[in-house]
Formats: sequence, C-alpha cells, structure tokens
Amino acid sequence: MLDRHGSTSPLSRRRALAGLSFLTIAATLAARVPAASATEGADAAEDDAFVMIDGWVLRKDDLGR
Amino acid sequence: MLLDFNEASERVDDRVYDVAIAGAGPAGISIALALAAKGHRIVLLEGGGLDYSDASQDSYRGRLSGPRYAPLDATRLRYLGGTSNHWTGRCGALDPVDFEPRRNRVLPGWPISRDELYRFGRQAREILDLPSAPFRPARRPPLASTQFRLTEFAMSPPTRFLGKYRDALRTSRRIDCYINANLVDIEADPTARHVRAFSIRNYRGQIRRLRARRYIVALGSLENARILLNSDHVRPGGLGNESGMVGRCFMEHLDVQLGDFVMTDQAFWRAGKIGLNASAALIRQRGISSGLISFTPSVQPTYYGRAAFLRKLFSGPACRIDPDGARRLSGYPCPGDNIVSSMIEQISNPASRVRLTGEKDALGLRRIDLHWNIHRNDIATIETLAQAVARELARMDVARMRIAPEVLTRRIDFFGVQSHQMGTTRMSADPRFGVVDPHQKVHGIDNLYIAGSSVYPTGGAVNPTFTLVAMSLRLADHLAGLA
Repeated sequence: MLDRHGSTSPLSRRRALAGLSFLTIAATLAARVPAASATEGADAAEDDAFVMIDGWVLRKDDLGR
Repeated sequence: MLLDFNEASERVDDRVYDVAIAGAGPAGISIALALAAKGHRIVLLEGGGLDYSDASQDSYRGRLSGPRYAPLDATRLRYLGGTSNHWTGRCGALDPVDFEPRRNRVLPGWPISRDELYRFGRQAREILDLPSAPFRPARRPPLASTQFRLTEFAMSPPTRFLGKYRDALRTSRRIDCYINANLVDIEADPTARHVRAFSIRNYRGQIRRLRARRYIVALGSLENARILLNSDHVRPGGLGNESGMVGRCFMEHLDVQLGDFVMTDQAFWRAGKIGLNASAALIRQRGISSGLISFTPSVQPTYYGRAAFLRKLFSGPACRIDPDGARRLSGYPCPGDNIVSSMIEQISNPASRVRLTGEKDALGLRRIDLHWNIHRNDIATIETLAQAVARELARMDVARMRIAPEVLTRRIDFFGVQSHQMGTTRMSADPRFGVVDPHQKVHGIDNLYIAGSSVYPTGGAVNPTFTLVAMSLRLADHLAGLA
C-alpha cells in the first residue's frame, strides 16, 4: 500500500498516509528500542572468572596451567 | 475426491462450499481433513500437480533486494504436499518465554497463550508421526547451567503429506481437492469486507470462480502476502492491508557460525553434537531474542551446488596446507573442525518485507521482491549469545570456544538461513500491528482467514512446522464451531 505502484485516489492517499503514520510510529519505536544489553568485544569476557585472548574465551585459571 | 483442474475445470459449478482452502501443504491439508471429519464440505486447491514441475515451480521465482538469501524458487516446493516434500522433520514447540514481552521488540508478541496455541498439540503429533512423549533433549543428564538448557525436540520420519494423505484426499466424499488449480485472485465485494469468490486458473489459461462461505489462504509465508497484495481490484494496496502490514515483518531463523571450540572434557562430547537453547533467565536478563546454539565436534562438511565435487576434491589438500586460508576462501569448515552454528530468532521488524514487482508470472500474478532486513537487535542477540555460551562452556570446563571476529565486532556480513519463512501476515489483537486477529481471521474482512507460519508474530528458536500444524487444527476447530 505504501510504496507499490502508486496509489492515486484521495481515498487511497488517505490510507497511505494512515499507513505512513503507523510506520513513522514503528520507526520511532524501533529507534528507541534499546539494543540488547551485551557489552561488546574483548571487554565482555573480562570479568572475575574469564579473559579473552584472540577471540578465545578462557578461564583465568587456564593461564596458570 | 482428487481432481485435475486442467481436465475438469468445467466441473466447477455454482455450488457453495462450506470452506475453500488455497494451498495443499501441511496447513491446508490438516485443516481440510479436520473440517471434513466434522461434516463440512471443503474444496482444497493446489497450484501444482502430484509431482514437481517447472511450470508450477516457476511461479515462485522472485527478486531479492536485502542481504543475500537463497533463490525464492529453491527453498519451497509447489505441488501437492507443498514443502513437506523436502523438509527434514525436526519438530519442537515455542518456549514459554517466547510468550513474554521482551525489551528488544518493536511490535507486540503473541496475543494468545502458549496453552491455547498448542491446544491441538496431541493431534498435531499424530499428523506429523511424532512420539506422544513431550519434546526432550537428545541426551541426559540435564546441563548444570542457568544460562542454557539442552534443546528439546523430536524427529518426524519426516512426514510427506503427499504420500501420507493422497489416498485420504482421493477417497474423501467431503473434500474436492483440485490439483493444477492456481489461486489468482481473491474477489471481494465493493466494501472489501467480504470475500465473494476465489478465482482459479489452470495451465490452459482457463479461469473459474469458486465460492464458499469461508475462505482460507494457506500458501506459505511469501505467497500468503503475495496473493493479498495482488488482490487489489477493490482496495488499492491489497486485501486486508489497511494498516500497511501485509508483507511486513518477514522473519527467518539466522544461521550464523559463531566460532569454533576445543574439547577439554572428552566424556562430555562422546555423544556428539549438542544443541543449547538460551534459558528464560538469560533472555530476560539480557533483553535478547531466543537462540539455539549447536556444537558439532569433528564436522564432515557437506558440499552443495554444481561445484560440490570440485570443492570436496580441493578442500582436503587445501585444509592440510593452509586451514585458515581454505576456510576463508571456500566459506566451509575444514574436515575435523569443531564448529559452533546457531539458529537465532529475528525480531518482528516492519522493514523486513515482501512487496510486489511489476513483473508477472505465467499465471498473471505479480512476482515478489523479498526485502529481507536484519535489525541491529538481531546482531546484538547473536553477539550476546556467543559471549554467554563461550563463558558457560569454560565455566563447566567442557570446552573453550573462540568467537568469530565478525561476531565479536558485530560486523557480520553473511547470514545463513534455515528456510523457515515466517511473518508477513502477523497475528495481532490490534489491527494496527498485524493482519490477522487471534482466530487468524483477516482484520476487517468477515470470512477470510490465513493459515501457516505467516501469522507468527514471533518465531522463537524452534523449527516452525509443529506449531504451524497445531495452529491449523485450532483454526479448523474454530471454523467448525461457527454457524
């Protein structure tokens, strides 16, 4: 309805506008949705028990073995 | 009765069936048999024949404008029994957590409960030849983890609906099943709130109108949206599309190679491949989608396509000489690798959509453009799950996992898929956010229903067929209860 082979009648334009406003809401919502709360990259494994080296997620006690 | 519409188009007369169903795949056949068993007169329409044909399959061709996806005529089958003619048979049920609100979602989820969705689970198991026992992990004991659980599933033989139900359709006195009968238009009255007929076309170009009290479209996720969008004589933009939602929220299950691993506890891996699902606790805590992560020790790659023989021939020496280079060049793991693959739920995303092109197929239907879209929250789920499962393996001291660099940096440029096509006519109690209501009736149209995985508002991390059949039986029960 919104971007297919052009709607031309006033009625269909109204419908298109209604659809557009929904999509604007959806897009706004999408923009506001927080990304999942993962921490990124190497930092993620750097907690008490784990360390990341070249992508390998290791236990800290692995390093002493 | 089984009839060939190429030969018997003149047999279609003014009779009004109780229900007309377009699409004789798992959904359509399940509904037809269930309604016929309750005394209803059904017409079931299949666009293809009793075997594969290029003429029928050609209607599935379409354009791709999003991330790389399999050719649209390669993932589906267009003849009696539909895509069940080549599925692998893996079945499972959505998790209870899939029915809870999620922080990372744009649109509302299921408007019905899990118990309601699987009310006909026992009958669905019979149709799919599944054991009556609950879905369970392939091995015991359960994992000592709060973050992940062993994947619960069962394998169908797999049931081929053509082989299993052909005789039942042939001998049924209440079902007229037409093959080579292509739905080319859903004819609505001038208000677009009531369907008057299905227009059916055979391969000789003959078109007939077929009437019923109620109509069901069960053509698969891509085609359900396509026929609604094509049926735009009365309402520009297509039937049931006042909200602009028809075709939107197409979802797949993403198959991303998360990395590889080394085993540190041989006993744990003796049973071979293992599947882990993110637990409800992890999903809630991190605000992510559902995901299934598969660990395959000592993989033996299967090569596909015309160059499969050459790929196999060269992969052995290449992997011995330069394993990393060979993996990078071929896109395949080397024999013996321990790989981590995945099946990740996509959020329901309006930008991921099916729309029509100007090109028509031989039946006169406009073909589709699949504009698949991967949301940033999908990527976040992938990276979060990779981190979590890598730590969990290390914590349990069964393996150490190396996370692929593109996953760590969230710069994934290739998404494999499971050919689980979902969404496009999503279910929502609120017509602004969906195409069908909780009874699978198209919002605003009093006698048009949609069946199949196109109505899923969310897809979880489970193969979709069992849910699809259970929902189809629920729809049949609902229709049987109407006057």
